Amino acid sequence: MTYVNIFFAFFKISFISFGGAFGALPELQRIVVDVHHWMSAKNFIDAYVIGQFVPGPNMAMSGVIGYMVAGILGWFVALAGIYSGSLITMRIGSFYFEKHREVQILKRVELALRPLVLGLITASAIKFFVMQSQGAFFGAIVMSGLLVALYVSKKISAISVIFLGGPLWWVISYLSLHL
Amino acid sequence: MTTHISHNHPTLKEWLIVCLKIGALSFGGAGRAMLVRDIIVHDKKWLTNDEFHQIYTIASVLPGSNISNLSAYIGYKLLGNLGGILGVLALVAPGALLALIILLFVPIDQPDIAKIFLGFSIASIAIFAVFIAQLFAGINGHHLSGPLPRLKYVSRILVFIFVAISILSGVSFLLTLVSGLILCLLTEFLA
Repeated sequence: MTYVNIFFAFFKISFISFGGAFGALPELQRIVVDVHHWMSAKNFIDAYVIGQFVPGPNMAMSGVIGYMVAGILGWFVALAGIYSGSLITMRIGSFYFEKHREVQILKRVELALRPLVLGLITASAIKFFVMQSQGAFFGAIVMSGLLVALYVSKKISAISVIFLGGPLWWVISYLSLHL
Repeated sequence: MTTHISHNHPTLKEWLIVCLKIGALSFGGAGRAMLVRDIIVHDKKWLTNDEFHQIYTIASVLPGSNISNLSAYIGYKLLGNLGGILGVLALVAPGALLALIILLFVPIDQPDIAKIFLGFSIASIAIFAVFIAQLFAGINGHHLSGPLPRLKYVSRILVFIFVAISILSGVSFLLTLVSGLILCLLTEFLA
């Protein structure tokens, strides 16, 4: 049954996403595109792009994928899968830590896991950057550099950077096609 | 650690409104946890700063989307099961509905619109790169007992490079994850 498969695909992702869901995106792509053949790599990128654009937890793309695969119920089931994982983990986590308060050891584990989390999200960011900037890689680098400079120098906020990126990229792809 | 016990206590309705607000206003990644802290610790005083940071540590160590882990824990702690479950629902709903509306009503296959959305997405990776750079600084800094010994620092950098290259070269995700976990714990607790 597709709905059950969708639910468990996202449920599983929830338990292997350390340091946030972003690091597990390559694995999600593998499951959705290569294992189940639910969608093309291009559709996966579309889902990712929409998910990045909307506010809230950054796994809104789960719902988009669910909808693309199985309609409105798929949307619901995918979201239920990814966030029920979070609810279960934290139910156990909060029960345990409210009782024992052994946060000190957890702080050490958190420090210890930083290289892993950093490796996962860096690889993921590079992968998605390369996939999205196809055909205009140099332009994407220039645009990102410019936006990062504006953001870091506190000239514009994160939201403005994202909204500026849309039209800017339109101009860059237009130029790279016509020059 | 339990110095300021005298905080306010939200009703379920107040908590859900806050979750909806965070779900609807938190654009663009890295700043989201800080938005949660500002509202819950500074404005509403439902938790002390210490409590928030403990919960944040737990939420980011355990697997799952950070911000939903954070809301689930705070909801459970303040208002029990219903607070956690409905809180996450309220947090997720605005973005998930907006995504659905875009999918249904915006012609994202139309080339010009596709380019604009792609631009939003590339820009969000650019913001994310800044966040990654900040985390990278955190690999070395602020260890529990001062700066890291050189050997530990180098081994952490090596683990980072190993994990990144392993994922980029298409090695199995689970294999990378498990070996990365083991290497991280070994370098922290043995080296």
